[in-house]
Amino acid sequence: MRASGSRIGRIALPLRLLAQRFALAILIGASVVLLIMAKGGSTSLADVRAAVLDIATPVFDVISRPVAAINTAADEIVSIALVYQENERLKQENERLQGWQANARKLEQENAAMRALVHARPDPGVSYVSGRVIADSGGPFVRTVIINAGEGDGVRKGEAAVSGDGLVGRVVELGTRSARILLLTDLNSRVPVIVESSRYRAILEGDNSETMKLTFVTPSDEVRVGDRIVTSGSGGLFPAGLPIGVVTSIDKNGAAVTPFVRFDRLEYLRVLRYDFPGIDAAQAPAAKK
Amino acid sequence: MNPALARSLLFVRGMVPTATTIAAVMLSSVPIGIPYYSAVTPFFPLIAVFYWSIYRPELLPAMTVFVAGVLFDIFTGGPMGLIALILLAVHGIAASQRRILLGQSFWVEWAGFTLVAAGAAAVGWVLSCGFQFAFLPPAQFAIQAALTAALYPAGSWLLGRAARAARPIGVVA
Repeated sequence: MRASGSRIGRIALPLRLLAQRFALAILIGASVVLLIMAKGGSTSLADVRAAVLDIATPVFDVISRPVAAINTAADEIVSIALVYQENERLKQENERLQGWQANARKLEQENAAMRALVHARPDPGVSYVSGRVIADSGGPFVRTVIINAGEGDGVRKGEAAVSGDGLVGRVVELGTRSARILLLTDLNSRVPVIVESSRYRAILEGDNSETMKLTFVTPSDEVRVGDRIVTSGSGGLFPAGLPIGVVTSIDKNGAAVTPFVRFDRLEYLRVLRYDFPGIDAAQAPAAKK
Repeated sequence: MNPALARSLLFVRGMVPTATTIAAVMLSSVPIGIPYYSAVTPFFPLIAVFYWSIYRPELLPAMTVFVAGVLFDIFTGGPMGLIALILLAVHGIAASQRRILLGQSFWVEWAGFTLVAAGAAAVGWVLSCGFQFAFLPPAQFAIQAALTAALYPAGSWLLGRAARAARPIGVVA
């Protein structure tokens, strides 16, 4: 009995391996088809992505918590060790900010008086939805993160995601409980920006590296190393004036911009809901599925 | 041993390669918070697919490898099918070379994995550049491959422990 069983096993195993090889060839073909469909921007693939992400979100939510807790604890240990220096730094910063506060109040009053004088329409209000980063891109292929807030929480496609330091990216994929944020550093990221000091308009592109590139820029008086780059508000989906980064070098290909945001330490993001008059984010061309 | 319990344990053991490969996929997307880590995160599923394709190819069907690859693409936001294609190619190569690698020392197995990781990085870079129609920084692909190869000894040790822990009592591997 045992001998016949082992003989069947000896025959069955190579047959199984042969079937596996046949399946391998079919599945390699299926992968190529998927790649072609992805290149063509298939909407059904986008729906599958959103559905799978929604299923996986609770799992990522759980497994990312211990890591986030360890990071927070490590940050706290470092801050305790540096509490004296940090206190001195904050005192100096506080003095500097008191001066800025006085300036800001004066400018705010002036601004309100000027707006009333020319009957300017007020800027639309900005509300937001917060979400925790539960997954990242895990490799050199793309630059995205997933947050645990989605359509059910009021997030819409195309909206801007910010951290405390500035603009992080925009919502490109939406599930009921999750949203994928395309980071500013991703190759496919394009954001209309202005140089804060000169009001020079340009497009900020990512290239999958740690910095970003200002295109349509030549070395001139309008763009200089050290200039701050902020969103221009063109297109109506992003509020104007969101801080992005600082110009660190300029050459014939454009200007390199180092982001204010530390993309490797993202924890909580806010997705801004910006109701630009006359434009619905869900209907705007950039936000279409 | 109770036959039902023995069958359940056999089933659990059979699921270890699938479970560890999917776990490796999820591990790749967990945000660690180490500077520059995200762009060069080790390609954990490559370790799992290579290891099981050598030691237990019958427990890691091509369909599992395909699903793991598609899940990786979905979780990371990459072009769907790209990682599935790479993992299936590695699965095919490793399973066809297993007879050569099985009788050798661990150093030979590690060298084999390093070659496969380098090849996977090169193919991944070429396919990504072609898909995006752009020149992606190749250094990140090379660093990812080097980190993945460096982690193979630890990864294969852990997978070996997982396989032994799930082995049913009284059943010889």
